[in-house]
Amino acid sequence: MTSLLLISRQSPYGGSYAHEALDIALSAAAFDIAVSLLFMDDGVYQLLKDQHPNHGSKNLGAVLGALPLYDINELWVESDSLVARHLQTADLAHAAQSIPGGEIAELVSRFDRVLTI
Amino acid sequence: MSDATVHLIQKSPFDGQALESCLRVCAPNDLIVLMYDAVYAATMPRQWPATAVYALADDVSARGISDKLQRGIDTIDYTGLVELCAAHRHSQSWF
Repeated sequence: MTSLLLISRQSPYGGSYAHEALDIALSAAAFDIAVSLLFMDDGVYQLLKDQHPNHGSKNLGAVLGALPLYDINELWVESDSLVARHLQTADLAHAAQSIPGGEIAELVSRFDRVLTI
Repeated sequence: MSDATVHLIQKSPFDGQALESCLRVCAPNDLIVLMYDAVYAATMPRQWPATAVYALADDVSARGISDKLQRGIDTIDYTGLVELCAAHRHSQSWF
């Protein structure tokens, strides 16, 4: 089984990138690719609790909650990005493993493919 | 009508120079409105060189940061934003 690490770096509602990254994750999972997600930079904002987007935008936090249904269970969050934004893991709605920036190269090396959005 | 400027900041503080550039030219009696991804700046402690700083309520609520706003930053709705802009001679967008 091919493994894919999808690195999601964009904020949830600033554009369509965050949403499209999740679409790719779900599509890849449907094709029997073992998908893991890593959130860094403004992408960590996707993980916050209590998102109530305006009419018309999909609730990205809710989509993240559905990932286990697609067998996407491994979520990572870069701890340096959290610290820079005065956030803690307790602020996050989804259980993500914290990883410092210095260990991401090693994480990437464990996967067959990597895609950064 | 006030001669002060309303600054509408629209980009995340981590994405480009919109916030920093605005703060460089902002006068002490100007007002700042944080909207779109700029509302994330309302969660970070900093000195604001403006007479008032607002964050657009819909954008705050969408992003799940209602309980993280720094003291001194009030939310404003779209009606309030329009009234604010109408009451000032100039508004400047930063994105």
